[in-house]
Amino acid sequence: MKPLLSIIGVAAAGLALAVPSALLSGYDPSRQRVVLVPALVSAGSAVAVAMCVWLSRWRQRRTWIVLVVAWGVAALMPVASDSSRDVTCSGLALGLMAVAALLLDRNTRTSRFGAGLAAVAACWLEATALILPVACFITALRRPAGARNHASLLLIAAIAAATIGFSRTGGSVFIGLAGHAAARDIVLLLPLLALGLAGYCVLADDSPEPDWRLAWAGCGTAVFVLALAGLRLDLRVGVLVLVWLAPDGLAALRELIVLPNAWVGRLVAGACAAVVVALALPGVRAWINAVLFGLSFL
Amino acid sequence: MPDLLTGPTALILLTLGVHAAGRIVALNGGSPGIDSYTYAINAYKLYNSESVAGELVTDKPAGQALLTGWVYLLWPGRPSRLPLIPVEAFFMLGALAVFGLLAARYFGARIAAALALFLAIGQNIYNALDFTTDGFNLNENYLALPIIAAMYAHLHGGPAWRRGLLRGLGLGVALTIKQTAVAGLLAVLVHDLVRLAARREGVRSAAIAAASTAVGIVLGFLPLVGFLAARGWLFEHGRLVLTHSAPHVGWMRLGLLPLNLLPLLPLLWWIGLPALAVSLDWLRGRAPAEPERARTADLFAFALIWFVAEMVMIWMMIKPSSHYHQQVIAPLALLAGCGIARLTLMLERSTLDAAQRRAAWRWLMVTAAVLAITAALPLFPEAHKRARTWKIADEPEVFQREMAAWRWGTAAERE
Repeated sequence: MKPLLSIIGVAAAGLALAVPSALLSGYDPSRQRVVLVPALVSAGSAVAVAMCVWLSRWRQRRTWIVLVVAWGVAALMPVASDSSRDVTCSGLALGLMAVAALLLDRNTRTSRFGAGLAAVAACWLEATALILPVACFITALRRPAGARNHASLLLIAAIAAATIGFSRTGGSVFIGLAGHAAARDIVLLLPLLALGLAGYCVLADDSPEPDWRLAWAGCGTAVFVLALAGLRLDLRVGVLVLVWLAPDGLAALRELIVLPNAWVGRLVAGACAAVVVALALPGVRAWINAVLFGLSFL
Repeated sequence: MPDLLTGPTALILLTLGVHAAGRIVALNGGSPGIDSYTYAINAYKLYNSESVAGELVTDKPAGQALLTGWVYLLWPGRPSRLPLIPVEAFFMLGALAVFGLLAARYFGARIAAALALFLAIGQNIYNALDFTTDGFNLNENYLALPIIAAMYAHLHGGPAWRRGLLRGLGLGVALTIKQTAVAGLLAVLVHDLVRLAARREGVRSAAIAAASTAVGIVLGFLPLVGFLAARGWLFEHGRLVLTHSAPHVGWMRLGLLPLNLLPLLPLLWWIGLPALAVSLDWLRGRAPAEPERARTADLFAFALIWFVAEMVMIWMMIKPSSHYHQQVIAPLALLAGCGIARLTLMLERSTLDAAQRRAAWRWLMVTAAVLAITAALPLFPEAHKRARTWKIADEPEVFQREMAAWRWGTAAERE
């Protein structure tokens, strides 16, 4: 009963945090009103990502750490969608990617099949989601032939889906004038970037074997760099992997802060924590703005 | 994988990316009539046989024009700013490379590459996102290479005569580009005095270094003096530079000092945190051991003197322009390197075990990386936007128009 209650609690709180941000992301300035479908999809995908993080990590890390990450993601993901080509497709792809990652974590035959389907669907909606099948393929290169074949099939299906999906949505592949919107999104995602990168380092230290999450993180970093270099990629989908790794980064920071008799370690960790908090301020401000925006409808 | 991402190769590639973004922004920065055209036309006029002395920019020596204008003699097309792009890139990337070599001697290749990246971020943001100029082809872009080379020679130039001669040569060339290079000269002389007072150097050696510095400066001036003399412009240009420089020197009102610290975030992180750690260590009554102090003490003293000299120089400029800050970043980057070295020592001698030390380092690096992204972020969207608006085919026409409207007088008056 307790896990079920915790799931309901996390989902309800996540929804409460996501709704104001989703209202803002669903606002259409030309019509001066909130469009229901993108807003609903934004809220739903944010809660889905938060729940997937919670379900995959709550047994491995302290409760408060996973909650901070999950709820932070629920509040921030919808507002960091300024540069998305299509907020609805991007939101759906985000939710599907999170489900695919959760299923990949389970590592059973059925879950892998479900993950493949979710990943291909995500690629159809947003081509940036291709990084997950690519990461699976890279990891499978060092695995037995059967795993390699499955990964190759998944990659081919994902590329086909991404191509069809991209030709459906169209538009320039260069970021052009959307660069400033992408920069605004990056500013909101910076604390997640810090926690996720730190988690990536922890995972890289702890993993003796190739881990699909490490390959995914490598592809996510490539998306981030390519977006800075001028390609129009979906940043939220690109950095989703950091959401998975953020609890590890936060846990490593906590361990340094609570160290006894090591003031230098505590000082370093405290300073890093202060920087992360400072980086989170634009996100907090954006969320408060979203709440005020939501209140204006009352 | 994290080692690969923070390795020198990845950092060098990122540095090149920042440089490219910065140059795209700078080249397409402003409307015609401002600095990049001023100094491009000045360079063209210097080598043009039909020009007269009074046509040159008269509030700065013609060193930059001498170093860049030769390119118009080789350029097959109509004159424009385009041939200056590789020349400027050579000077800016050369400055980063020499700085990287200098930093690598103290801190190793990886930290040196990171410091060079931070230097590139600072240089390009202060240069390209300045509201008063368009950033391309500015004096400061050419000034960094000879100054940093001079500082390299000052710190690692070998015997006193060679050290003095090489640093004098670098500073001489820098002084022919812009008078603000005098801050670098001041820094090396004060540092010599500090070394003398600390008995790290003998009086004879210091005197030899000072004398050979003077010789080096004269040698650095020779190409420009010779060129101007050959054209018969030496005395007139010299007189004009002297009379027109003076009005630019004074004390800037404090309120006018541009204090955009955003481009310096990663450097301030590596300076502020070790400073805090050292202060706390000192308050706890633990003085660093002698070998610890000596390792980077001389470099720290020099970087601090250099930084103060450059800050005073900025304050003495009566106009607020953020590209003046370009000269402050190299000493700050050296100070940041000293901070990293000190923090490494403190972590090594702490009670942390190897895994905890690694975790602390990982977090320090991640925070620095995120701060570097924050600092560099404004550059990229501007680069994407301005790259779309740049009409390369129009460059020669605009250059011709600017040349037709060229008035004699000082560059500052035209802004």
